[in-house]
Amino acid sequence: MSSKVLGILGTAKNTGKTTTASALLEIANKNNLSVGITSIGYDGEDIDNITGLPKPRIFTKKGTFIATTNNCIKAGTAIIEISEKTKFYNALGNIVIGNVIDEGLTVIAGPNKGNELSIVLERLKRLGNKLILVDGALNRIVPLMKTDALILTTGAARSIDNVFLARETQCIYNLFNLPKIDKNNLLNLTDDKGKKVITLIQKNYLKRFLKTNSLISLSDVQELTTNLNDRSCSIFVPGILSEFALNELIKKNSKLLKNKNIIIPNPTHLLVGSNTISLMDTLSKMKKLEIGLKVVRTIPILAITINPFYSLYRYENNRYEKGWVNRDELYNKIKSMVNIPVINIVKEGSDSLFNIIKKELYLSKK
Amino acid sequence: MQLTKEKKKILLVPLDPVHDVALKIINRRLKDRGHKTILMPPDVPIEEVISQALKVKPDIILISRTLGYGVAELLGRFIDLAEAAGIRDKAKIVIGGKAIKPELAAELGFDAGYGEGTDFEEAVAFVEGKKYIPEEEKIIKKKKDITTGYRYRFHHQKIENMLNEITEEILDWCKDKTSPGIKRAHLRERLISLKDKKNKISPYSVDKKIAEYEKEYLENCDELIIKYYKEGILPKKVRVLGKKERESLEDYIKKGKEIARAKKIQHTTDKPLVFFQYGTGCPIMDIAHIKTGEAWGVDGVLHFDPSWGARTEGFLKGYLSHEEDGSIITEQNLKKIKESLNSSTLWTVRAHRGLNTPETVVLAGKLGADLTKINIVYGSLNAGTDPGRLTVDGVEAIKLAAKYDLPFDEPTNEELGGVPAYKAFAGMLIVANLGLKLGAKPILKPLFCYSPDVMITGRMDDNYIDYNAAKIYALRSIIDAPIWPGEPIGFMTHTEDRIQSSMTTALHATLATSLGVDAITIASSDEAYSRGSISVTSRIDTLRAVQEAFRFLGKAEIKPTHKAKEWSNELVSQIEKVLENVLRKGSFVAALYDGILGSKEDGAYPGRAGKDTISLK
Repeated sequence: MSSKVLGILGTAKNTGKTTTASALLEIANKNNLSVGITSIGYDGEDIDNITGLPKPRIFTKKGTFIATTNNCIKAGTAIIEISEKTKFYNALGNIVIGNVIDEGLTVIAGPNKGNELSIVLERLKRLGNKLILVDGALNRIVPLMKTDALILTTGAARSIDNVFLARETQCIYNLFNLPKIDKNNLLNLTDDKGKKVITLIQKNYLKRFLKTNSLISLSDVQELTTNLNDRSCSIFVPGILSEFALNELIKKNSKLLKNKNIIIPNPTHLLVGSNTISLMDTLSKMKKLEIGLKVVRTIPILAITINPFYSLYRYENNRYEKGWVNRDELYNKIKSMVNIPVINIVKEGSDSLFNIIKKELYLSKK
Repeated sequence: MQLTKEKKKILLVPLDPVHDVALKIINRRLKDRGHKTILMPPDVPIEEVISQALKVKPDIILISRTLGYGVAELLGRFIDLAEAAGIRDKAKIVIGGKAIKPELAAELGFDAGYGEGTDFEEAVAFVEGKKYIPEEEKIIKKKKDITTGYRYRFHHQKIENMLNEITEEILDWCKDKTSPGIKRAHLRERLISLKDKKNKISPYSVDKKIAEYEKEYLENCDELIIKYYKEGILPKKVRVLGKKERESLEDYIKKGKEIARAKKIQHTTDKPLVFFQYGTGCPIMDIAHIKTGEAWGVDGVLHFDPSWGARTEGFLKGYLSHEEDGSIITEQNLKKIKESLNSSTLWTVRAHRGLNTPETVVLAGKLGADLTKINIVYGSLNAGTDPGRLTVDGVEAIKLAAKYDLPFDEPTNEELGGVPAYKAFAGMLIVANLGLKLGAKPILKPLFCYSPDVMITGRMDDNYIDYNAAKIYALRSIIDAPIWPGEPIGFMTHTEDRIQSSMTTALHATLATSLGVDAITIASSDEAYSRGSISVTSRIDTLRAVQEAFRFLGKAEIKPTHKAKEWSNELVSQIEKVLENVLRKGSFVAALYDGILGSKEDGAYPGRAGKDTISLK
């Protein structure tokens, strides 16, 4: 059985990514599942870098493989034997792969670029880890597309408006469920040797290349509109497709785009440049106008974990304090929007989440 | 423009609405070094930055943004946008701003992060892919000889002639006299030399000799000292450091050396060197003060011993701690302190005022001090030593200072008792000339203070500048000699308010810099009002304040009013008159007794310690 990589994606800081990662580490260890872990951010600090409130630290058991920096290894209490140095660096130092030989608290800051993460994950897989956890950072999402599946964490740290949270969660969930394009229709555009610019796939399988790779501004839309004609079948946007540009594009070319496909590499290419709430309206509009939106690749969101805790900013003393939203309301609102399990780990424990992961990723013991 | 491999294309992005100064400075530095830079206007949406980056294809993107509410998420989204747009693999992205730390940069996904106070060169080094060496690591501090470059030439013929006459009289008076202090000094020299020779002579002979010298030494000591050597009874509030304490101290010194880094406190001038006095009573605490001071840039330290030490014939021995102000001089205490010093730190062991003056110079010289302190006049009039005794001992001490190549400074702290500056200066010049005749190198030490005399005469009613400047002008018009205002500067301008005290110290340091003096001694911000040991944090207060003052002034100058010159001329003619009076008296020692260099009305009282202890050789 091959290794599986699980990413933990958050909608904001303090939504519970590290809590989820820690819980999964613990239960994986209990279940004798060989596990590796890395982070695209910085995990394991005592005090939150931004709010100054205490944060959970990651406890790693003997035999866990970790990708972090050499400096972070010195900062934790776990004793880690470095098994491999990589050529990658982040702001804290050289990224290395190590094996915990004596359990303890660990500080993890691994590769934060997608391509570097891919290479490091391959190394962790080769070391025989059945499950590899990739802890996210803040609201960062793009590098996590190098994983096999995601847990989405959200909660009051993102917004204390439970209705907003439910709608945003629904939007993310929907985006990750966008239909995939048949690779044959892509004309090798996603190959490494490809031009990596916006490409119009014409009826006769000809390609028209634009100058830029992203649709962000009005001038980008203008360039595309100038090149778009009734022979265009699909538009491939390898870079960013911003919600603003998408709206402008469909507003200007609704007829030309009818029954055509706009293709992006994965849902994050639209998500990062969009407001999740208004994006839902844009997607509905596209549906009505019969304009297709497809992805080259997507990964499943296996479950959503929710966290009613948030850091309450106090203007009077310029400090953050602890705050909580109504836990049950948060759960019910989100549950009503998605077809996947919603879990409060702090309240329910991690067993049910682990069982979902085991089932969905076909995990067996080492 | 075609860029060479070494030259980079950099996109500079001030994401903040206002704070773009740092980025502009980096921009200028990068441009100066031949890099191609594109500086974006402040406060543009991050999508626009991405569009610009896609257009210009930079090697590096430098972003500045102060961390605030929601900013972390914004920056995280920027990194995601950059990755989705394919920029992340081609360009390194750096974040700088208030509250940014490398840990946060890692969390946000940036390649590097620089917070407030980062040296701009660190960012430049990152751009150029070079290892950044912080300025402080580039600092190589070397010991400086304060007397270098001075030829000790008199510019005032009349004063020089009078001083020569007085010097001759002093030397003549002293030539057939000795004292218990002088005897102990020479015994101490022999004792230390014997220990040095231990591996050349048989241990038995050495021990025998040591016992012999010690016996003779004790014959010249006070009861207080003899009791300790013979019965192990220590003076009140003195105790021997325990084994554990000494072991911890060894460890502390070792660790201190490992982490020691040179710090320069001066900005663009080499002068003045900055000294402080230590003397908490406990040698361990002293070392902690010294190491902290060194870390904050102090150039030199002065050993401050208890006042009773100056009135007691002889020194104790061993590692001793004192529960009151002043750290006891013993060979062992001094050795340990010396061992703890950074190689660049100048070390003064003051000898100037008491019954152990010559012996202190021997210890200072033998144990590797750089400087000592001798002033017969101050010691006689305000420190309690008999003028005759201190004249005999002082002359011997100066000879020893010359022998051990120890420049000696001459404090004029009798001003604090109320003696007017011109009298104190006349005394200082007599001792300085004595030093020159005996082959030593004196350092003049006028006080920068709000003295009782200026309070009465109103010379500082308007400012603290003119009269202090007048003192320097006056001394410079008399002789070309190093000047080191002390002790400490701003004396009697401090209050219980640590900020006020730091400020006044810093302002006096500014004046000292402007006047181009060679060194200054500074007080801690709680020195006048600590009611016990000085705190380490207060040491740092004034060191930081003085550093800031140096930064403020640079090579600029403070302009005193016309009063400074007027008072300088007045001081010179007053000094002349005092010297005339000393000559008229026909005896320097008699002049001290009779108040010519500071009278009872001025607040000077000839000391009594060591009275009638002079003997013929």
